[in-house]
Amino acid sequence: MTDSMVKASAKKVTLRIDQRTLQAETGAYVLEVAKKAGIEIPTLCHHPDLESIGACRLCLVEVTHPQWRGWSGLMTACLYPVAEGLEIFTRSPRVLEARRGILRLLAARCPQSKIIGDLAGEYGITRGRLLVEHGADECILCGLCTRVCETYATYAIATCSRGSAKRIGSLGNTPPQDCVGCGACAAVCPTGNIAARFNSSGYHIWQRTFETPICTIRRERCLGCGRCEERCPFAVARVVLKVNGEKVATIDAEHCRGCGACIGACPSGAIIQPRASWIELLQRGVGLSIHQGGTL
Amino acid sequence: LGLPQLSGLLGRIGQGQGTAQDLQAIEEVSQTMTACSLCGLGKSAANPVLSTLRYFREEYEEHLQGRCRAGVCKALIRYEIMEACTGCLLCIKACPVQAISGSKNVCHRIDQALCTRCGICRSICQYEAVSVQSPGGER
Repeated sequence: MTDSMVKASAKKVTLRIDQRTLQAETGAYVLEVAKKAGIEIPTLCHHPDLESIGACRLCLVEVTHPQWRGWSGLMTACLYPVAEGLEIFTRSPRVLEARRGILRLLAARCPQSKIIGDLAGEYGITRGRLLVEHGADECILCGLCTRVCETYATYAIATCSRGSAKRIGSLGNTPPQDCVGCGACAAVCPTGNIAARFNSSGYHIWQRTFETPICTIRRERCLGCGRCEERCPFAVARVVLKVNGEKVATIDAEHCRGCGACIGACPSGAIIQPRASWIELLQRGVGLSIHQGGTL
Repeated sequence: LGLPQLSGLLGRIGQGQGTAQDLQAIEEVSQTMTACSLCGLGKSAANPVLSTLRYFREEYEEHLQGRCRAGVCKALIRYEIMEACTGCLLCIKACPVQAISGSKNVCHRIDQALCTRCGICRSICQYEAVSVQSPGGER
């Protein structure tokens, strides 16, 4: 960041949201500023770590300015940058009516979705006059999954087709080849439409299965020191006290994500991944501390 | 989200299954699309529907009663052979589903159960003897 950029970003503007005067840094968006000030604006497609695209349209707010001679417009708060003197209404009758219209459409598309059902209930929308799209899934095409995949993973999924045939997936409707099974898309999906399952045979997502190398403990080498428990990022490795007073670590295969952090932490080389060789582990960047007690 | 709804609702009206509620729903969806869409294409996508509703609202309402003034909606029309028929057999040969019966020089008849409302008989008739009828009027 250059000095001029630092200066520019440090510049403050004053705006009013729902009659409250707020200070915000230039370059910030209305949604973030409102959230910081504790003003609730509903949204489905926003994530603080991803670029907003204004797809769900729920965060519409009414924006006006004293110099606009009475003109006001509906803008998505997640994409509207703050400016000096803006006057913003997040719950004006016009905004509420627009949000109700959008929620009616969303509820018709995803009749089973809980999050949309809850929002619709909050805005007083009952099963409307609209046609319920039978056989439709819960996808609202908000693009969170494709954005998280593009930004943090391999861009394995994208929006395909246009218009009413638009869907999320890979070209040709085949399981995405570039998917690495990180599961970020399933984690961000607001309606929980991306089916992801983790069990002992691996991680299942997008009709693909990713075999997870599960860490196992060789009892005879375990010292019961608890370093694996300290290091495990998923709190899966645990040291338990056995009946005879002996301390032994255990790793629940069901929940182990196979990251290998415990392997690097173990002083006696007691933890191995039967499905992965040492070379593979090294390539994955697991910090191995190889001790004399451990064999390669 | 809005366009599939509009298309579905208009389709229902075209099939004669429309209700007054559907008309209201069309207006609501169109207004939501115009007000809330991201880009100009979305904002203007509902315009054809809104302008036909403004200028031809009575035709929409006729469809709710089961009448298609223009003779276009297949569920709401039927083809009939009028007195002007000379019994030339042309339409019998042309009909793709053999729905027309009759013999030479005798006025032909269309079996409504078989007719698919394709309109070929009407376009092929030399004497304009085939008419499109919708409840409440002919064309």
